[in-house]
Amino acid sequence: MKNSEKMYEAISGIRDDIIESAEALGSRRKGRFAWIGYAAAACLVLGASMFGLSRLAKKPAEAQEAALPTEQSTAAPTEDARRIVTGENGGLNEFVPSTGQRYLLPDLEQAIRASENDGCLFDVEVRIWNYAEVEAYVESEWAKVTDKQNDPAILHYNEEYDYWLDNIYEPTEADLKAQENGKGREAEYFAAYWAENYPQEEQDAYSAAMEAAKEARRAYDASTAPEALKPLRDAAAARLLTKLAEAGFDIGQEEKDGVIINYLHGLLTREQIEGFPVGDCGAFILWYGYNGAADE
Amino acid sequence: MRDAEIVASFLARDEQAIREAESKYGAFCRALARNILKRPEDAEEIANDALLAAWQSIPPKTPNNLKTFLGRIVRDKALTRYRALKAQKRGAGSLELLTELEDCVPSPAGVEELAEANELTGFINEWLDMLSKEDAALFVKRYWYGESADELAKKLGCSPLKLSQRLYALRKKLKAFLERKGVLI
Repeated sequence: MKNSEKMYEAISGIRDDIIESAEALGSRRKGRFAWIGYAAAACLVLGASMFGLSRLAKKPAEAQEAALPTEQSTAAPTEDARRIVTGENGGLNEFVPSTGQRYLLPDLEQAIRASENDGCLFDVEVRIWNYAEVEAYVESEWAKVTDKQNDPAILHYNEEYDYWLDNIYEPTEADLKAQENGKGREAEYFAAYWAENYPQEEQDAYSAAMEAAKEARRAYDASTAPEALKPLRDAAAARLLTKLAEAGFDIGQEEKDGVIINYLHGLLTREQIEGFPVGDCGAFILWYGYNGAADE
Repeated sequence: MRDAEIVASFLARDEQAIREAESKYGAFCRALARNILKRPEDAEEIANDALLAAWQSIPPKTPNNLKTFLGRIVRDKALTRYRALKAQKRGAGSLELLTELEDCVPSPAGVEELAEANELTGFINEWLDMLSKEDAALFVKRYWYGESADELAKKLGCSPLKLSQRLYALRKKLKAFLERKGVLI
């Protein structure tokens, strides 16, 4: 591989956050007279507020877009009552947390850090992804597949294929055209070449190894299908809920389709949100309730 | 549908995931392939291949960010296609990005260590973190997204020549940084 290709491949792996933040490049640069637009908008807002039109901002649809937290005093009026902060998610989440990652919706993060919300409870949903135990199980099942795929007979076949491709194969114009369209038949040609030119015992070893690899893949698909993993996931969810209850979290599981994700709902403190335990799972924490147009 | 939900559909082996991913990121994948290869006739196919590859790799993988995950597959497929075309001498030309990236290849004089691709990525991330936000974004837009210098010049409101000079300076900086790290590739 050429050095520049290695550099290209290394650049492919640049961190997600760096790639995402590059999206905004140049977006703040407007034309020379862009300030006129801003000034006009500012005048409009000022005028609207003078005529009391700012009430419009409280319409639900616009409030959702703004994604700002709203506040309600829903707790019983006792000395211990704590104000409950709720919010709406608006357009959100492009992120799936891995085991060990805790990701907070930015608007929620802002709200829990606001000093006026000191001592409040936050009405949140916690989406649990990727239990460590389930991940480990899936990985161990996948290792069985790769083990079979790395059988010496298969590796030998692949090496011979590469050699044939570089040194023996002479594609016709039609073959080249087919390759360009992603419909090349090289593998098929090599299979015929292999059948004609290699000792029977090598062919048998390869066929047996391939069959074992396919069988391992079928077994993997069955053992890691969502329904097959559900008992494991449910057990992990139950353990997490017990652990949370013991630690004083006021949180329970929601009855939603939890095949891949478990949805929890609770009233949590700032400290509980910031310290939500993710040693054995990944958690995405957002406002509870309406989650923007994408949820509809 | 949100990314997280599309990923959940992939994990649940629901073929709707491919349709949702195509609807949300198909255009992005095609544009990325076009940017890199400069062969519009290949873009559609590379984008489709990328979606299929995503279907085959989730699970076991669970991408944090579906867009960049697909983007990486597209980049990989584009490079593979380029190599195939080059091997067949069928008008692949030279890949503009690769030619420019030659400038970043270090030639260290001190401690030399053959860097693995992921180590090299780590160094590049470290270097990008040290740059101004705009310089980091410019580098990523050019060398990850494959956007042309002309497009980037328009976005930044400068001349293409000035932009090219800026990119050249960034490549040289990266080269110097990697040399300081004693990286050999």
